[in-house]
Amino acid sequence: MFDRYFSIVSGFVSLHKRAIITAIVTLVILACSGVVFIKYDNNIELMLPRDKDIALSMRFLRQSHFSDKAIVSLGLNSEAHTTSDLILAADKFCAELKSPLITKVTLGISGDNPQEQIIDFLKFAPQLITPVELIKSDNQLNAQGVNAALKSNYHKLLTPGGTFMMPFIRLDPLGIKTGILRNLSKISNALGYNIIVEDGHFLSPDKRHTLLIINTNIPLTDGFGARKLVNFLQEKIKSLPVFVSGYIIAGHMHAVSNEDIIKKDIQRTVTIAIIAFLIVFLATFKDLRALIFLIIPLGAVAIAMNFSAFVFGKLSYFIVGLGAVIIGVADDYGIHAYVAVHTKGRRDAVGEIAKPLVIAALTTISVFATFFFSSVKGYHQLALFAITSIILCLLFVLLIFPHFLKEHQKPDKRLDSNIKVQRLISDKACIWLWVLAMVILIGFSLKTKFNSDISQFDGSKKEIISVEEEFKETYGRQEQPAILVVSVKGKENALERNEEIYLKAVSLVGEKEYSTFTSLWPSLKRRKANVLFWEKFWRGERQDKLELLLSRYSARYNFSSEAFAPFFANLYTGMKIEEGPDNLELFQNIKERFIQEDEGSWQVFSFFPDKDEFINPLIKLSKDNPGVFIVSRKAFSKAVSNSITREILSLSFIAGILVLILTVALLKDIKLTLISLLSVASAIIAILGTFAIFRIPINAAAVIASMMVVGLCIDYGVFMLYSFRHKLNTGTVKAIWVSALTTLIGAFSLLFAKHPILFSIGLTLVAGLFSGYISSQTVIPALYRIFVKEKG
Amino acid sequence: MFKKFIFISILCLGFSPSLGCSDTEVTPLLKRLEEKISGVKTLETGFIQEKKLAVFNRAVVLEGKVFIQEPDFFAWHTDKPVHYIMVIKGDIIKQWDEDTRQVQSLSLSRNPALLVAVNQMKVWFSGKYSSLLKDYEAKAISSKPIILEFTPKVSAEAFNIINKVRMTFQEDERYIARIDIEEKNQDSTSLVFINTKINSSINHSAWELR
Repeated sequence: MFDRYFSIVSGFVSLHKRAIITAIVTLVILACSGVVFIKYDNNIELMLPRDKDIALSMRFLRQSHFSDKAIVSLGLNSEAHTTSDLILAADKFCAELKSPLITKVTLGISGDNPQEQIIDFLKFAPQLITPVELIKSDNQLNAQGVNAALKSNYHKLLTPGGTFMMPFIRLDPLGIKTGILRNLSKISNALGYNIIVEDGHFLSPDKRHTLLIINTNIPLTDGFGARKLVNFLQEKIKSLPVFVSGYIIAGHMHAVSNEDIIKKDIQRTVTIAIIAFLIVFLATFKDLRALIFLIIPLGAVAIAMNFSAFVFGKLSYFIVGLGAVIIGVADDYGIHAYVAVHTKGRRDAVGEIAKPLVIAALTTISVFATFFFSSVKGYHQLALFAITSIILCLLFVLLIFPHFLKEHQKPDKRLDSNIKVQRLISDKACIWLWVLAMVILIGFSLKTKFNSDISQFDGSKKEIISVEEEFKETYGRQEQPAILVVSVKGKENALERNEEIYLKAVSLVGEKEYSTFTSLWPSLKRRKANVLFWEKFWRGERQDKLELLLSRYSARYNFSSEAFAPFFANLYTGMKIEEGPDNLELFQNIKERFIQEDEGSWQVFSFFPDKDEFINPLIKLSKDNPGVFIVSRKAFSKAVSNSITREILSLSFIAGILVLILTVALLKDIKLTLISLLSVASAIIAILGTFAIFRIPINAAAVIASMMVVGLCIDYGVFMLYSFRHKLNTGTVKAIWVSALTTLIGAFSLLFAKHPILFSIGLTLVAGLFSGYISSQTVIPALYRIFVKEKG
Repeated sequence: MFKKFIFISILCLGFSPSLGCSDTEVTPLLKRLEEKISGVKTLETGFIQEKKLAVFNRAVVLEGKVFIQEPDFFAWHTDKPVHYIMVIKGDIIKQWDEDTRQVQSLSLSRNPALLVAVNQMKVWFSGKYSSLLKDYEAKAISSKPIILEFTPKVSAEAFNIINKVRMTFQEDERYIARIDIEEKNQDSTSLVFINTKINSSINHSAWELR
């Protein structure tokens, strides 16, 4: 039936050859021109599985204030210049940052100085100090307690730092408000930077560096905008005085760098692949018409790119980066057709191999088609891109390509082959060698590690990574903390919910390293309760008692009668619940980091170390409490890893079933099918072993590339067995050799890629295809001869 | 207030924080002093500090010693009226006092206020006065011995806190002999340095806490 339909279609094309070829050439030219206008995307989200935890983290990172900021760090590079010079240069630099790309520049904390702001904040103590804390201070309201406090205060004032402490001591002689200062200090250090403020500027501890926080309206995913922003800032940095150097710390730098690297990788890999293809084709076939092998897949890939971009709107750079591999895969059909025509000396020889070609294409397509079942959007693009390329290439090869080939009077015996050609050693020896090789590789593969860290998708230039390290060192950055996010509708609801979660969280991980906003500024409900208790506590007896005790014992420690007047003057200030410290820049800066609005919901953040002992119990807590989630590098990696494992298992199962069905359909023999699967097994073992040998952890992209390897390697086995079974004289061995070689070239070109993901895909394909090809040429024929042919 | 803290803390430690001078006549003098003080690699000096604070009924007089060893060692010992020791080595500041009789250790980089004070001191001892010229007007009150008076500029944050700072230099101009600070709130501090030894070896015990 297949042959009948094939000859009908083939006959139709033959009749309208000129019109069809003209239409295809026009389409290819248009597609090549269209490639320039395709919108590309380097967003790594495309390459991540759809998972609730991953989506929450990505959404948080995308919408939080962390992603819309760039930092410029300026540093003195001359000992002859001082902090004042640096500050002047920073002010001038800041003044020049006028651009619609920049919405705000923060140099530091302006206005009132931090110490005054802290003192102003302490005036809200009635709202902040809990009844429990107040009851504790009740123990000091006696002669012994007041004496001890006065003595301690006196001694503190005689130390070099005494002048700093004086306003605090006057405002709080018993140290009741110390807890607020502790919380303030803890929460200020929660982000892990050591930054001092002087003259209203953020400075590094050595005061040789200052940083500017730049708010931008350019999202990280806007490659064009990110480039404009980075170029603008770099131009401004160039105009700094010679004694000041500067660098940018921003996600935008990564976006631009990744785009540049992938673009260069694509150019490099495609160029290498095309040159290598040409050499192979011309050297093997010694026929200029062989160039058409290259033109056909190139044309097919160009059309497929346009079609995929039309369907998805944008194309991922990662997917386009696989273009060379797709060309290498798609050209296989042309090679088989060419070899068949030349071996037989007739164009209609294509008909003989049409069926195995279609089946081979279908097995490859089936593997790519399983990617549509993936939740990774990037894989959908890969699937459509690859399947379209393969189908177009197959159609061109079967229906158009033969018309360009010359018929020979005499068949080309150089291209002919049969099973005997391969018998360099005995079949049994060949099988044992294969078993030995596989055992060794399995031994290595036991050491294979899986890397699920999202940072591996970042192929940014080394310079960017090194300035980030320098930045961490300069500003004393510790390990990046993890964040627990409480997300609830309504600001007060969010704060109240955060207080509940805080209590649960500290019962699990302790409060020492867990910083949250509500420990500094509680919810309205909590503040109201605090104020009521504060007033009840102090009004009347306790206030009078403390005044009496202080006036009685102050003179003993040289304190004047007015020394602690500020305490009593401010005892009932800051009690109006509706009044908050929003006018204090210090508080605003903290608040901005710990609380934000997200489409009607309010998110309150708590920071803690990104370590297993914190992450594990807090993830469990978040699962038990709706509206709570964790943003952590470790947890994210774990979620990606789990999700990818689930995906791989289900995709592999689907792909395996499809491949098996198609192989059985073509070979119509279980024994042959099992033999053909050996090339797949060899490929998978070789991939795992190779990664282990090179001590490179395997990643999600490599696993997906492995599935491509499965789709390609099964073809090699199937072709060999089909040609043996049907005693085809269509140059199968040669065709498989050349097609495997070209696919390997496409994959090999990826080993020249700078981007780690493209490189790992390249390594997977090279290891897998090489092993799959070798086994299809050695162990599969040997097994065929031992278990099928000779018995048959 | 933060600036005030820095300023006064440093003066309490015995060093002027922020010298500034728009008067071109004083500039060469400052440069000369800068050059001389930049030669100080170690310093051991006694001090008598008088604090007149509004919170105290009477002036408090402190006696003790200061030790400095370039580039990172600094110690402040108070013997009267209370025993107190503060030692700074690099990023670590350690304190001991007779009340608690315990050593408290802090990271300077985690205590920005103290860090600023320490960095200001470093600037002073490295002799880089030019970095501090922004906020103060300077004038020479006397040339033998050199006495400089610094008044905060209106634009300076210290303007609302400090009235003036008067610095008296030793005869050889290698170190400060006396510092007097007048604050706007009538608080004042004077610090007199005695038995100053420059570039002599410092006993290890200076850096040890009890």
